[in-house]
Amino acid sequence: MSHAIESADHHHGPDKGFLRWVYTTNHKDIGTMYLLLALGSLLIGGTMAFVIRAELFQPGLQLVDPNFFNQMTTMHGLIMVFGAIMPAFVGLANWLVPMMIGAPDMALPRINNWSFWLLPFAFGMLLCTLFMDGGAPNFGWTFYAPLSTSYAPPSVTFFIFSVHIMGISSIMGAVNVIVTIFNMRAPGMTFMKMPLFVWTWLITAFLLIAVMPVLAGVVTMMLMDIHFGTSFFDAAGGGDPVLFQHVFWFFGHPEVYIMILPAFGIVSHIISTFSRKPLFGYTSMVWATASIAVLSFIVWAHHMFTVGLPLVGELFFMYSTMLIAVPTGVKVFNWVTTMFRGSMTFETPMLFAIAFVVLFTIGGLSGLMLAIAPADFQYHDTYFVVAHFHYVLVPGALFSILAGVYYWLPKWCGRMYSETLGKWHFWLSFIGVNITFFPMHFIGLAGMPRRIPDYALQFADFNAIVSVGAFIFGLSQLIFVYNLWRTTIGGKGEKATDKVWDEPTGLEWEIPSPAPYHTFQEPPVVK
Amino acid sequence: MKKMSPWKLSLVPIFMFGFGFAMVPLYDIFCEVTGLNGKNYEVFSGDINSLINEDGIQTANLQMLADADSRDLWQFQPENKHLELQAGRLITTYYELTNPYDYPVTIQAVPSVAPGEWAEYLVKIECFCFTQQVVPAKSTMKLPLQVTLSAKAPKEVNHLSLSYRLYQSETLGGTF
Repeated sequence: MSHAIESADHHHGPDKGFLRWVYTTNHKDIGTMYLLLALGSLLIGGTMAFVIRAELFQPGLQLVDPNFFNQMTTMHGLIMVFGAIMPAFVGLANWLVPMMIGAPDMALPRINNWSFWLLPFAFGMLLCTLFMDGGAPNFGWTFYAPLSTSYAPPSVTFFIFSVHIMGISSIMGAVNVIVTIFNMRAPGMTFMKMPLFVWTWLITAFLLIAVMPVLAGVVTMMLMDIHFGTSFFDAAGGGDPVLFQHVFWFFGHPEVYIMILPAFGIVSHIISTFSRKPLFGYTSMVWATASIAVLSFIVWAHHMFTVGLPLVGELFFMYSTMLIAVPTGVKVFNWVTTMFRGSMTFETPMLFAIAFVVLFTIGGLSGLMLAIAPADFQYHDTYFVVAHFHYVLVPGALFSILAGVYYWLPKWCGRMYSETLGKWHFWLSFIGVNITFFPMHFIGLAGMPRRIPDYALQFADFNAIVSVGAFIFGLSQLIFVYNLWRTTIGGKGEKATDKVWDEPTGLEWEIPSPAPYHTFQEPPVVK
Repeated sequence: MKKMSPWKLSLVPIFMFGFGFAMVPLYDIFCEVTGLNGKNYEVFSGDINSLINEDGIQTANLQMLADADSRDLWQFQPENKHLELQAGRLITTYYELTNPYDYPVTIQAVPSVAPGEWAEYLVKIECFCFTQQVVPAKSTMKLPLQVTLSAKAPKEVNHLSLSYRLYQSETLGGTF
């Protein structure tokens, strides 16, 4: 290795101007761009949620017509899943994985640049469909055929290509993470010494390379059905629409774990730091993550209990789904036990992490209710399902991302964020998120279907409450945006120390704050 | 230390892309093995005389159902709603289809047998669902069907339902 020579030659900072961001192969730059793209998507997808909640504030059709309402629910789902949560985790992986394993950069820096730069085009194309004849995709984020084939608006083709592009981006990103973790760990860092965020991302990356191609396959089949006269999902030509759901959920279920496993890693770090104790049960955490990943491949049909599965199928998918509660329970137990008798303090990242543990568990328990096949016949396609997946994705995945940003931001930019604003952000988000999503359980159990722009009068009160909560939650994210701006560009906030927090563990805290443009050009030695 | 090659790793997504498409035939095979979807009835194409066996005592009630696309103005119904199937006796019947439009249409009928586990005991010798049918404008057609009960049918097979769903097939990609 010629690190000594290289660091003498290339001891420089970033290029100047906008082209720095276009040409950059630096993992920190690319991580920042991913995170900013995710923030932009969060605000766009959030605006769509505002349209949905404004329309649902009272019964009747007030603001938008039903077709546009459907476009909003579809685009909200697609943008939040593929544009906000997934890129945010990739951004965190870019920033943190090399710093945590003591590597100078990602293993494939140019692929890394390309993975990112595909995304603005994919989402640009997806957003353009809003202005096309016939409107944007209106068939729900799960795009079930034949709604998304025979009865789709013409813009579906643009949707398909944008899914292809973001799929390619995800696969390349995942390959990059795997290769980096396998090949570039510092000497002495064995697999079982890797920080949990690295472990959870390694497993997530394997899920990504296994299932994103299946998503690409299913949208390709749609493309062929729409334009090339095949009949994969068209019964008239010998196809089967239920086949679509099988292929989609074979991708879709591992996908939901792609959106939560890195979150498990983040909160593990944060809870350990602010409890001032090493994480309880590191080994069991690794095994639990791996078991969840393996199980995710054999549970997909629990999304399809009502399509007419045979009894044996219903039972198999019911029991295999319930089995996932075991490794997940191990994780929750470990987090609680880490906090037990720790010297806990409640800075903003810790607040978000504790809220994650509590609220994600609520989402997990409603998931267990949905796993009961006979009960699911009642819950299927109601607001109960909406409540469930928003509990695991908003106070689950999103809270973990917010927690992670607050936790590592001082390391990235060298300044402390405003703790006061952080606490305001947390408490308003926490209250808002529960006002928004908790009543959805009740209206769902009472029978309100998903994806409707108007509803029966008996659901009016709860829907009004939900909408108020949604506006509180949505607007409180602006505090976060302001806090970020003030800390980074605004240059306010006191200087962060190298350790930032009280004795956190991990290689990323061994380097100065802010993290220099190039780090670990000499690999550290891990004892 | 042995290095992980990104090229070798890329084989995983390529394989999984293929696997996505492989799920299409696998799905059909799975349905055939398990009898799901009620599609694995027997199609008999050999010598019809070899089927005929007037000694067959096994009988089953066959219910005939017709289901047109609700968006279309089809008149589609079976000649008989119920028939008595007997092993070794051929039954010839027909469905009647009226095309109310002033243009000819091509239709494809998709059959389904319930209960799915017993579908294999329904033997079809001739069916209008084997090929696409062209119905001339403003006319009524009789669509023929010839079935019998398999000699292999166990005693508990006492009823079967045969339903047809009609699809307009020249407008693949939309019946708006």
